[in-house]
Amino acid sequence: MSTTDNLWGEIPSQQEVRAPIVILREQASKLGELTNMSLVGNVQITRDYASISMILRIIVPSLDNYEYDVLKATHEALSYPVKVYDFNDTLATAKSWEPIKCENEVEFIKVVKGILTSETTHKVIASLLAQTKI
Amino acid sequence: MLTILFWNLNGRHLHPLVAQLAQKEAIDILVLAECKVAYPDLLNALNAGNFRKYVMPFSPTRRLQILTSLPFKSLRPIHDAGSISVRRIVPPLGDELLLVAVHLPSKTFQDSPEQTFGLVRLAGIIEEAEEKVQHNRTLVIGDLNLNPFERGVVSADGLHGVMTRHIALGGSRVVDGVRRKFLYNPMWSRFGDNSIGPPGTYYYRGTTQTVYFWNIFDQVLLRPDLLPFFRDEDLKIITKIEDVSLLSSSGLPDKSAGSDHLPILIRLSLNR
Repeated sequence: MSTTDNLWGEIPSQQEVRAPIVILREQASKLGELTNMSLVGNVQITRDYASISMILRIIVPSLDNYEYDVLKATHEALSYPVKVYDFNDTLATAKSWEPIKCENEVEFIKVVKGILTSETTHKVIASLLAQTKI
Repeated sequence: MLTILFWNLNGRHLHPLVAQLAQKEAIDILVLAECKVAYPDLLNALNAGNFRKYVMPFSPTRRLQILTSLPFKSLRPIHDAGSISVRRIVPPLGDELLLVAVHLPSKTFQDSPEQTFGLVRLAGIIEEAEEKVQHNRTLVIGDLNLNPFERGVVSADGLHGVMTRHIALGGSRVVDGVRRKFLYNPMWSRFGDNSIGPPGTYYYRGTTQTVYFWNIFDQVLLRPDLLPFFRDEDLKIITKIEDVSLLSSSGLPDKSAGSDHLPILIRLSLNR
């Protein structure tokens, strides 16, 4: 009786790594909760030859579904590293149009949090919420 | 007649010149890029003592400033995506228009493939907006940081900008099984010495092998549905505002008098 050799070696245990798309979708959903759905978060996914891109977007239903793009995250086959484009220059540390490279989930969360809690983003959210009341 | 102006101010405080130009040319919609003038100063310069009054309708973005002398609600926000602002223009008279204002990343920050992908994204945003407003009377205006002949502007996946009215009026063509709409790019015929106006909108003399010297990064492109409202002579590259020449004695953009970019102006006879 022959036994099959294990050529795989020891399979690494599954780590609790959350992909950028999961994190962005959570935050998109959170925005709706926080604003009683006055503002709705959305993640648009596009694919090109070698990479996948996700755009985190705010939609304002009462403004004829006006859309405001907050950031874009792009990665290749592996979830990390991921490049983040801060569309509205909310982070003082980032130069305009240059992507911010995040090597792992922790770095990605830090950058996304920086953008979402920035003064610029909060001013935009306040401005959009004000428009919903007109 | 609807008159639209785009000018990349290069961060300079050119609001007095902008105000003079706005009044002289009776501009309805003013799109400014790299404008570092505080809003009150800009509005004050535009409106003080002038018959034509400008307002800055709601816009959460800072990269492009869009002002209008049309009634406040004539400019309705559709989409802002960093360097791209899409507005629905509903003038008191005439057909409405979809305005796509852009200031895309410089070649300093992005290589050619990145710029091309940026144009593919822009094309997608335009298609989505056209679907939303249910018409194709679309005008794209701004600093693309690419010339009319570069891949992202010409390719079917990008803006699909073509150089003649005749081709544009064909409406679209099928590429890889997908129907792609054309945009007419009248800027093609504004290059070089034998064009109307200066040889381009932006001058750059580099040390690399290939340099065009004059570039037309500042462009306007129109969907075929707008062509009945547009005559090519109603597109101008502005070189003089009252007594101030925007060109130096050697005929290049004079950064001390104006910006490194020349303004572009287009008129559409939408209210006929």
